[in-house]
Amino acid sequence: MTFQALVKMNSSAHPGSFRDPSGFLFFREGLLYRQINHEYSETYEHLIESGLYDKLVERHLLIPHEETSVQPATPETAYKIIVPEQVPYISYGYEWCFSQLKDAALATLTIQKLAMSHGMSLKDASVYNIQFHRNHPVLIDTLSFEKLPAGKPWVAYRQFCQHFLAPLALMSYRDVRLSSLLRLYIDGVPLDLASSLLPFRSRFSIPLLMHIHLHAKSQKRYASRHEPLEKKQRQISKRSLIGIIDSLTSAVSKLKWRPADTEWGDYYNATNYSQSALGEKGRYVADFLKTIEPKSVWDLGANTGLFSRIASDQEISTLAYDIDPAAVEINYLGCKERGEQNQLPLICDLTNPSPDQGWAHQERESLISRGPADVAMALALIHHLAISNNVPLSQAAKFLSRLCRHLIIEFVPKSDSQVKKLLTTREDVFPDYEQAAFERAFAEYFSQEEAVQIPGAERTLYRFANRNQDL
Amino acid sequence: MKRFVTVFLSILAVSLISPHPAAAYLDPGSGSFLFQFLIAGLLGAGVALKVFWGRIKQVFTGKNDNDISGAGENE
Repeated sequence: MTFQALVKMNSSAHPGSFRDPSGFLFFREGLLYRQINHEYSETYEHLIESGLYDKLVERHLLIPHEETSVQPATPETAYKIIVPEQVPYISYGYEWCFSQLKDAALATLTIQKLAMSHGMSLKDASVYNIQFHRNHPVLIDTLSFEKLPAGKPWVAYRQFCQHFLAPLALMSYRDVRLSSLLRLYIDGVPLDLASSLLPFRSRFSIPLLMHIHLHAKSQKRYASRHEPLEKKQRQISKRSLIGIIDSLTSAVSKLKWRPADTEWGDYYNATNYSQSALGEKGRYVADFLKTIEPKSVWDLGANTGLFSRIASDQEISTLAYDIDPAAVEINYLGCKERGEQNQLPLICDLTNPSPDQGWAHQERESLISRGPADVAMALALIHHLAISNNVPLSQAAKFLSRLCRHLIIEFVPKSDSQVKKLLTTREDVFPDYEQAAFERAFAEYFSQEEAVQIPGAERTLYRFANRNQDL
Repeated sequence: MKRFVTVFLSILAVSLISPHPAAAYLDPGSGSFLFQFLIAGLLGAGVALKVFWGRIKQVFTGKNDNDISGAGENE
């Protein structure tokens, strides 16, 4: 069931919200609500009365909410219903660049430290509880807190190491593409796996030695023992807990990754576009967007977000998807520096986009399930799908028609220098890759509303409307 | 300092043996729970040292950046 289908339904429990007995999410009349169950009432009131809620919201670390009087989804267990500020798009750790995951990790640790100073603690440190809202990492699960249990270790320590520290260390020390392990392991990267994949030199970092390598050993050692934990009457002081959080903070802060050599990093300089043609293309994109007046734009193959910015600067909620982690990193850091709130850069390989996965294939949604977007932009993309990846034009049209209501797409002919470059090492087995065939293939799913030849380039920009009005 | 180097070298020596893959049916949770008791002393001592240093700094500068109230800044 798609996200859109759920939104349309009344009182549907969110399929990714079933693990926590404290409450759950449900949809009603297009809005997302959270039911708080009676068993969580005392903890919820402590969150509010201790001042922790206000402090976290003030620092943009927790999603703000309002208490509401709508009918609960299950009245027999309901204590209160809250309506959180709506997050327009849910993204996942395996779609984030290095700095997004790092910022989310540091936000989690800051929340934990603030919680401890208010007599509370995070009972979850899941990467899925953090979302980028207005380009800030915020905790979206208001029920993640518990009262700080005296003398007990941090219950979410393992989860934090698996969801944040291990993938960040692997990205920093080994290869940035290893964030995709989060897609494979829904509860984070197993520490024994991280330990075996990390290079030997990672053991010279004391925090990594402790929180990954020795931690993995400890897991293995105690997993095979059957003595009850209660027998061990040891206590852990608050000072030691703070020491653990500080040490994790130090571990995360020291991890670095810089996009160095990337085939796309200098794309805007490497294209055959002159500055004036690039400007013309931007003006047409802006005109098309003005005509459509979308609320959401997905820029597919966004590179560092030059054209995504045309949409996001008009206050349109914009996703800038690119396959290259370096391009997404550059875009994210740029958005952060400029304080841009409407553009969210994300990693996506369109030939293998994020699937529906997790329990019953419903916990984490696929790209298509999180759509459709009002507008998808596919600028300088079609030749990569058709020629680099052998996707027939009809298949490309069909896939894009499932993602969006309107499509702004650029056709790049074989005579274009970028396409010629792609064909230098390939046999030209693409006789159908020409403009008339492109128009025929897309006409099956879209009606052509506008087409303009970009002055100074051999490329054509199209504005299509989806023939499927029910999308 | 000598003690710290000894502890560090001991930890390093233990870590040199690579972990074997854990069997899937074993729960890693209890190991994570108990591991925190092992590192608590060392990390708690670090915090105590920071507090002590913060107090010394406070005498001279009037500012204390190492308050352990827990409301630390990570950003």
